[in-house]
Amino acid sequence: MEQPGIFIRNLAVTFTSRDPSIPGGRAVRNVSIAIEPGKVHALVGESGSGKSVTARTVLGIVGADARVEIQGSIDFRGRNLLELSDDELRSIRGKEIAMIFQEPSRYLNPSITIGVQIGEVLEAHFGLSRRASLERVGEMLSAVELPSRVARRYPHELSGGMKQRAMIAMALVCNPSFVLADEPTTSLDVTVQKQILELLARLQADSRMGMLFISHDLAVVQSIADHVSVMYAGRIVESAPRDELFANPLHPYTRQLLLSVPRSERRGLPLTVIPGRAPDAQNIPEGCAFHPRCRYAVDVCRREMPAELVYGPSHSASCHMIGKLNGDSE
Amino acid sequence: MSPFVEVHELTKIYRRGGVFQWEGRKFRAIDRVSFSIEEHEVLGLVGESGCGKTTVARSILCLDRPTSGSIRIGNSNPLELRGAKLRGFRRSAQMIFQDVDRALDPRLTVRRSIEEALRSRGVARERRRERIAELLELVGISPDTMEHYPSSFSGGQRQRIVIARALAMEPKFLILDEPVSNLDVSIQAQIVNLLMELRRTLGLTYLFISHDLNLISYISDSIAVMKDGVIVEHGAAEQLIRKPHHPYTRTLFSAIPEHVRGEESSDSPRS
Repeated sequence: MEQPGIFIRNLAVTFTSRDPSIPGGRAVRNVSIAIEPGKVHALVGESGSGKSVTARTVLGIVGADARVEIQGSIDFRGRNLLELSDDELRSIRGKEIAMIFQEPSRYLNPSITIGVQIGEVLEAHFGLSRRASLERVGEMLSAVELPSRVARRYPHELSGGMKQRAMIAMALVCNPSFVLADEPTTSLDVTVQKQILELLARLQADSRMGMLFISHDLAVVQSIADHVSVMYAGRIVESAPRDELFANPLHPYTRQLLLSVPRSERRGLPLTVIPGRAPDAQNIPEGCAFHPRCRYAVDVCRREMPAELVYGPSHSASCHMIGKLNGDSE
Repeated sequence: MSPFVEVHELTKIYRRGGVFQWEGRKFRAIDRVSFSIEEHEVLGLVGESGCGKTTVARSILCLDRPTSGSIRIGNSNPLELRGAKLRGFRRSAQMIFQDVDRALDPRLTVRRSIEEALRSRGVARERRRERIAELLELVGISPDTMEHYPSSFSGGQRQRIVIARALAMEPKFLILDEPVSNLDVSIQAQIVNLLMELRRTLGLTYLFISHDLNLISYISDSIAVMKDGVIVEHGAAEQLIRKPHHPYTRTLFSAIPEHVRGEESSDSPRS
């Protein structure tokens, strides 16, 4: 059966304050993402770029403790997730759309064994008995390459990598058609990170589920994504198939971000630096939000928000200066 | 010429478990760690969490006295120093940590944080303000902001202030323990460039600790790879990257996610 995709259209998320004199925080501004069925779409950006807020909005877990305005639509199986009631969302969350977070310890209950925690998801969504769920838990643990005895262990008895595997097992136990992974390997050591990325890639390919993969790490994104969108100050500034984006980046932000990653080949040469820092959501500059840090900015960049234009198959970017730039190597 | 820093068979044994210190099981956090750093060079110490990198750093500065081994930095041997002389040594070898938020006292303005360092070094009161301005200028912070509190600066700016404060002690040797790990890529590049420039202009010697292999390969003249408290491989960066000998080094390098390809990546040595 073909799995469904998720289509985010013109999503805007603004955090507001009770005090009308305080400007709202425009965390996400007019973001559209099509996550094709069975594909990994990566959302990459620096902290505060709005990537996690976008993911959390899909799950309906943004704004529980904040005043928030959400516009746009998120289509999943012909329904707009933003219009569903809490009950309807709860039945989708965890069952059809699962989420994997950065710090498994924060999301695992320290006082319950791993087996029971994974089983509870099945009990909640399918009404399985504990006995029936245990069998499925065993299957799931072997799918994430954990020995079956881990079912009887408590989270503190596991290493960081094993905890992340347990969380992946918990996320995938209902066979979701879609997974949101928010920096799932960020706190792990590099050898463990590699194992977890390989595991995620294999599970994703086996079950043909779609994935929205959030990361600040370009190298990690390059190793797992089919399609990459780069976010800056709440907007997607460039979006392209993975190989195209890394071989032929168009937006100055994407280009400079790629060049600012240290590599041994560049030893002795200074790193390319993007001066200044990203604006916060309350003070987003007029025009192109990147213009104060952009070495190519001209007048129009300060005045007008650049439109998103298409430059190749599935390759789009928002910048006034594309095509007017020459080599950007240094 | 002999190396600027020489560490020989450094071992630190902790006791784990037990109510009293002597009851616990012995645990070798680092085991006979030896390395040397030439003057003005960067030694990158790389390894995964818990391998003992930070214990090495703390032992060198005698923040934790090592169980055995010897250390020489310039002309001093910190293990033979006590009291005021040890404090004097720690001034000449500064350490910068990952956790910027804990490094600065939130109740002190930037000026007072740095002034504290200058006073302990005996800089005359009238000279201090001028020197603080120079130091802030050196790390790219506007001296006009010296009366602000740490909370009004971003993470990257706070790390610059921490670096300025370390430089106030006029160290010859800096230990940098994951100094950019909590920073965004674009901010990380700014701090890395700053550190490399300071090394050049002030003639500093660095022990640079990180779990980030890309960063270590970029910044280091030589690299030491640690695993389970032991240095498993140590050599000139170029050679170690091109031809790692120890199986663990190879595992570590092969675990780097597919290389980010910039414009000039076609001749990448590892692709």
